[in-house]
Amino acid sequence: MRRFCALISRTKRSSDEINFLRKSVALGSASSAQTTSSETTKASFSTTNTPAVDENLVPVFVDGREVHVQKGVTVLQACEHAGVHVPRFCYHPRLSIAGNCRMCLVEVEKSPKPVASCAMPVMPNMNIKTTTDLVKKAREGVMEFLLINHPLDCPICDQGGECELQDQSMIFGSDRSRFTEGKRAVEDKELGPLVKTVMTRCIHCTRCVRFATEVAGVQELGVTGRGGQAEIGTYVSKLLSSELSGNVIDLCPVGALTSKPFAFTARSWELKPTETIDVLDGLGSSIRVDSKGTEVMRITPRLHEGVNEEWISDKARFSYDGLKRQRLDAPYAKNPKTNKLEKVTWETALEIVGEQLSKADPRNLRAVAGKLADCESIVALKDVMTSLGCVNFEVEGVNADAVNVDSRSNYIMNSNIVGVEDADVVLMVGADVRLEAPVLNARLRRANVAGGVKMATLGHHGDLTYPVENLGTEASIINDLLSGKHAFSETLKNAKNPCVIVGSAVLNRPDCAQLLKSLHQLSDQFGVVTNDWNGFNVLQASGGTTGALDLGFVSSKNKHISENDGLKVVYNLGSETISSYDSEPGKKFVIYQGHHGDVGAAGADVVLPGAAYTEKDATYVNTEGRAQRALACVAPPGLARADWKILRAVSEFAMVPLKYNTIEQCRERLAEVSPTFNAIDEVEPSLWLNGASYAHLAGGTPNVAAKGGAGKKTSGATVFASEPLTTNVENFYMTDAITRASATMARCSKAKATGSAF
Amino acid sequence: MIKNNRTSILDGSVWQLNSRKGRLVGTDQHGNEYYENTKYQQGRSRWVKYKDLDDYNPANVPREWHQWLHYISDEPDLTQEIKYEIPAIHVKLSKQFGAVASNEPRYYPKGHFFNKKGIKDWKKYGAWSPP
Repeated sequence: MRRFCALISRTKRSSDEINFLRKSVALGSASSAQTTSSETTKASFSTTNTPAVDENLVPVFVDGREVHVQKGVTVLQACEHAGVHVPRFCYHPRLSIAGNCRMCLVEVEKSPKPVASCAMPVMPNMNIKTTTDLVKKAREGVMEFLLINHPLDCPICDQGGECELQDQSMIFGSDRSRFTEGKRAVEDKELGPLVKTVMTRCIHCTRCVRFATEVAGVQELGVTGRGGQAEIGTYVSKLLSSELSGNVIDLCPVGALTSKPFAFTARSWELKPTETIDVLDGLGSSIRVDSKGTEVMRITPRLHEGVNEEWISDKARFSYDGLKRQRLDAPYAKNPKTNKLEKVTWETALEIVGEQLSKADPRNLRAVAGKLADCESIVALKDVMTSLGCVNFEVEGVNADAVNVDSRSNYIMNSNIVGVEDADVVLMVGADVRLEAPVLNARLRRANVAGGVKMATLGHHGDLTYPVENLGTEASIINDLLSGKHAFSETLKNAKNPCVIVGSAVLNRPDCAQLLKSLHQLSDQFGVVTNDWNGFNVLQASGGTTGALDLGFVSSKNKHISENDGLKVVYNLGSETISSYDSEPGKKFVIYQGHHGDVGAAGADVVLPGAAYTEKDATYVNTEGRAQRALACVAPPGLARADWKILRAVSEFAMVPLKYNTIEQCRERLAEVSPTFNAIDEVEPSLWLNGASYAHLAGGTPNVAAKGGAGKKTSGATVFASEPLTTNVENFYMTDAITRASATMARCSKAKATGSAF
Repeated sequence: MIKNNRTSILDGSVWQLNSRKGRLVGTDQHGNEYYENTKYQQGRSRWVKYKDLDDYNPANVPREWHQWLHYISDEPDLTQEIKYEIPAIHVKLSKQFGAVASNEPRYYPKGHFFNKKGIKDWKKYGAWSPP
């Protein structure tokens, strides 16, 4: 057995060394880590040990090998650093240390008993042994105790195949039990429509409790009772209210908490994993889509330190059943006789589209890019339309007449997602970050709780899970901040790295230009933007918006529609906000290209079925301006096709053939249009124009007054629209066509509204 | 005892003819003989004795005798209209489960191809239908 263990730790070592840099960065000892693998091994055998270069590093010995780790790290981390895997259940690097599973016992020289390595800090020259008989016996004893009450559920357990207890019992478990007593039974808890509980399987690692309390910030899970009566649960019967609740499923090392929508649908080894990204909120979290045949079976997070760490929101995780409902699987065209949409062939649909586009006056054309549109299709649509002579573009949810998109810094998160933790004051304007980007909210919570970052909000919002100072809901408060009348101006002034987070709702307000101008003024006045810090952040609502703005999908300034005959043809690329063109005069011919039948498709004359984000190779830009690739996990349903290919075909039928035929050529074109796409998964800092972006709006020129009755200049201070600042996410679970089609999301909305799962 | 037959010991369906006693119902154009004994259990009460027991093929049974042999009809007559009897339990269950009223009410168990209620939806996605 010992030889077996040694074998395992040796094979682990090689894979761990691949991740060497990442881990050593996490431990803060990159410099010394370089030498660990080969040189220090020699050094430990030599007569004189080389002194530690950094005084923050201490030498420890793991199985006779010397490694240098930072002071204060735990024995377990030191072992990981040395490439020795220590089995564990309760320890998790992103949660506080509990030390209650006892699986990570190791032997430390001069210690009378084996020690729980996850909770023991290292001492200089500590001699840690992980392969001795004592350690083996201790771990086998712990495993035996854990299995006393653990049911033999593996054949019917959803965790089977990816269960830590199953794996480790293969190494440390006995093939039979010495206990004849009956196993204890624990009542299952109702945690809502997402998390299924089988509490008899629980081994009380308390990872879920710590996650809910520390990361999600909801004090809803806890341990009641002690010893054999210990149970995990909500103290009073209550549903988990967090938007991050799905992460407890990943954290649970056994099958106590599993996914309710995924229950009994597939086994983990039948699934085909595809590493892709999520587009349902602005963050573009890294996800792994597990598919079986043509179905997406589940979605789990992937590690991305720069974006989502290892969490994803419930919307990203559970809305996949929306990908199987209300799908557009065939082209439709309106029958002129019945005035109803009927299924047609691709050829017929494309002929109609081509005819409509090519015969229309380009001044009467408009292209609209939806929230979930990918960059390839956006650039293809833009190229088709500009070839036709159209200069009339619109991005869903952005008042592009008002937002200055010439400078990229005006619409992205300039501090980056990681950067919000470097701020010392955060002011959120018109945003409810918990609803708009729950994973970012968890980061902000950590900044607040662990880093003491001061949080303030301007506008309506719900409970953000950390203490915030609400400055009010009126936009005019910005004037008070600027003039120094407001008490919070002092806080901003004294802050070293203040940060402003502007919600996507602000970009669609009638007084948007005035608001942004004032926020830019505020940024320049209070040092939100300095030479080495840019804390002006716009939090976009979904995966397609930033990409569309990067590609310049906005109307040219010398205006568009010929006044007398109005808008004639609209090419709608997946936008569900049809009010933007519906309200304009003129009888319109609407071409809708998208993946779900929603308001957009219902109001269209021709429907072209596209692919959802799990069905096409595509590029998306997240809210910090990070271009990321989504991969096709399953095939699009029926006759649906990848969106950029549809537009390529449309260009042929409209007599303006595009110059690119493959996706590689299309991506070259992307990089030509915007440097964002030169490097994938990298963030380029953007130029800040020091208030020049909105300089044309002198003071409070009433230039948007005609539209929204706002922005009148009175005496010096800008007058904003009277409506209060608020978020545009009314219901976190339903924000776009995919989530609106999802039955799971509907159940969640209902549970949230009624407080009960049924 | 079957004579002049080298394989009858190895071929069970030929060997069985030794122990079966029945009424000769008729002979077809190939010379195959058809026997019946209603005392035997349902399903084993009709059999065929092929003309050449060393080299026979069930495909040599003509259509009319095939339907007689398989209890589809009681006469080896193709002109006769075949009437399908509906078991009483099927009629009862169809009424109980509210099957559509038709000339032939039939009961299909759950999961049966014709049972529209219990049939599994094999479609992997739901398509949108225009309003």
